[in-house]
Amino acid sequence: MPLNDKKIISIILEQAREIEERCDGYREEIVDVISDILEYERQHRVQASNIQKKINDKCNAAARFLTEKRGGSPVEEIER
Amino acid sequence: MKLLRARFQNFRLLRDLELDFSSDTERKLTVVRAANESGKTTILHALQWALYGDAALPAKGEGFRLHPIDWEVADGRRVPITATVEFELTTFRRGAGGLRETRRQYRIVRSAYEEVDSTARRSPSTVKLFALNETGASPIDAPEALINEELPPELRDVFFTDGDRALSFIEADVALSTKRERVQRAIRSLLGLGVIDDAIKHVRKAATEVNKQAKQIGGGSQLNKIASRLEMIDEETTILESGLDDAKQQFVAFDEKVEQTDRKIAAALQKGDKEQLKKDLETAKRKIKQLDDQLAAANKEHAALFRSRRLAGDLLAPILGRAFEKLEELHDQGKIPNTTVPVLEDRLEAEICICGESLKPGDPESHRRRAHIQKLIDDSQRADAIQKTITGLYYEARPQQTAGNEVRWLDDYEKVVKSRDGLQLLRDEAGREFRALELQLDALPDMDIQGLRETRRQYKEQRDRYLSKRTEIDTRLSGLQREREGLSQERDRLLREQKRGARIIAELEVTQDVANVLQSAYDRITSEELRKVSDLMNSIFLEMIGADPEQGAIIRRAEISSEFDIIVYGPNNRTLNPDRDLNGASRRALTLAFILALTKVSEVEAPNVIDTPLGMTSGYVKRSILRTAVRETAQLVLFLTHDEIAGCEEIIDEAAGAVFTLTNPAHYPKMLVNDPGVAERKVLRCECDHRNECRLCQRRADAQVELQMAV
Repeated sequence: MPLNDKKIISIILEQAREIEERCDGYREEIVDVISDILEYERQHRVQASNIQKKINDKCNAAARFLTEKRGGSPVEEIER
Repeated sequence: MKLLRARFQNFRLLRDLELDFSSDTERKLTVVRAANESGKTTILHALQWALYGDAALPAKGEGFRLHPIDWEVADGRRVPITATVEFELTTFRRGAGGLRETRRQYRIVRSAYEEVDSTARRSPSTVKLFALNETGASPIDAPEALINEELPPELRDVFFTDGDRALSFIEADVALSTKRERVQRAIRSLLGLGVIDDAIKHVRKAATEVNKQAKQIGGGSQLNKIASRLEMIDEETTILESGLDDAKQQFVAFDEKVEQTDRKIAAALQKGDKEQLKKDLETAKRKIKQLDDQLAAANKEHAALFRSRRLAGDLLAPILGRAFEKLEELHDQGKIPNTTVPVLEDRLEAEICICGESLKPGDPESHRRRAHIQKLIDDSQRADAIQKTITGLYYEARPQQTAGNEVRWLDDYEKVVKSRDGLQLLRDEAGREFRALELQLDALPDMDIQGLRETRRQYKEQRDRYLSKRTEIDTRLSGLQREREGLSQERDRLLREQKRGARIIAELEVTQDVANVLQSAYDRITSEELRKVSDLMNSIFLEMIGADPEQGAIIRRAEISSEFDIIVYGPNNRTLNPDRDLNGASRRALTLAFILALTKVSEVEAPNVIDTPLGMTSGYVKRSILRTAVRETAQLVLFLTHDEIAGCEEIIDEAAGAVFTLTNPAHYPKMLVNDPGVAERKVLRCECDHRNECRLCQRRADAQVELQMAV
């Protein structure tokens, strides 16, 4: 891809500052998720893959991270 | 991407040519010096063929011969053609410790066989890609996918530019929407919008999948209903968004058709409106008929003048004058008019004479007097015929004489002739007009302007229909979005009450946040980055052409609109048509400015390979274009003629990392001083730079060539 990853990632990093820090390291996690998703997209363009599953899994992993970071009973955490 | 080197075999004039490109970050300019017909454009074609295949050749390769035209059949009836390009790609990946830079080198080899006959049939080209490393070259499977990914065809015009037709983004003959699409695709591709767009779609789909999980844990509850409705909303939204894209595309397509038809109508009208011309012809015909009638009447009047009494009077005036004198005498003598007879008859009837004597019958004296009077009456009546004629002549002649010279025949004649001649002039003019209209009509192509107007109306109707559809879908999507927001909040509330709900909420939050970040990055790139490209293009362009607003130059500024149109403004913010209102140098500068600005803002490391970028330029503009291009690009490869180089030597001294010269031996003896000793038509390379010549490339001075050509 001729596009400049550095440039796009720098923009993504700036935009990620706008989202809520739902737990410690959440924004960082989201930036990682997006970087990986963009990488999947690039690879998918070169070689077709089950990209939807990869992205679902990536989001799922980030959700697990969020749930774990929130700790304890997720329901109690939310209610608190 | 940086070009490293290239090799071409049996590609037209390039029988065996190898090129090295400067990849030095400080001296990033490569100059290929070559006179006309020395392979510059062929190299540009060959490079693009290597990377993009037949689609990059003129007419997509259809009927475009690749093998050398003087190929000897004895060397084989099928010519192997090969183009090899080596390049380096730099990628950045985010990893632990920040961004990691990776540089990889590749070799792409495209080859084909072509028949040596008039058809020049060619086998489909094969392409191979190798990753170059210290141990050698490793082949890469499915090279087309990687090549398309690394070198998107929509960026071909950005990376490889033919200076003579460096107008693909601004040329007037192309529909506005096509130019927009080219600009938009180049910007989207170079700024990475396509990848982000795809990622947004996939993440949204992931969110839909999570919503389905919410439905599963809700059983038959309220949560289940809400999740089901959200699912339906997502499905409907996907369908509507697809419909919206379609409506937008259709709108653009019909808008373009309306524009195309407008252009056809305008072009036809410029030559003449056939229907209008026919009407004009009918009007001219009626006018001619009317003038012919008037002219016939005038001719009649003219002829009548020669039969008029006034003509006779005027012609006989001297004779009549003398006759009138005689008549006057007769009149004075009381001989005319003849009034005696009635007076005498009156006296007889009254029975009393003028002298007072009685004229009563019976009296002899009276009888004698009556007999005398009767004799006078009889005598008078005998002279009556002559007198009558003379009396008539008198009264006829008198007005002629008494009127004097007030209205004469010649005056009438002058008036009638003037009127007739005026009509004749009008008739002649009308005849010429009629003939001119006939000629215009004959010269018109068989263009049905009425038909075109009807077609335009239909296209416009279609366009407006899709515009309405867009608005309708937009409204529906807004409604769904509002409903979705409300339902999502309710779903999240219900999920919190579920044991497994927190995890699903977390997934929904993640997908939402990821989609939001991607969307805002996308929006920012399309707005801010596009503005940056526009501003930089403007400053590069103005710098190149040396236009100074303070000095009232014609060109004030250039910009890329949010609709991806490249617009140039003149004084008073008047829009200039880049392809029609700008001269060749400015058009070239504008296209180069757009390409350089786009490459620069995207911060993509990409080469700009430009054939004859300085043609049609001179002096300040020429040096300015070169200096600016060198400054704004990551790697610049220029194919320059000797004339283009003239005056720019110092800039090349400073910026060039590689300079070499190409020579066409066929130029001997007319343009080359020495015989290269090569029988074949092939481009030869020497290491001479822009300031030197060797035995191979030494050319005759222009004056010598002109003299020799004249001889």
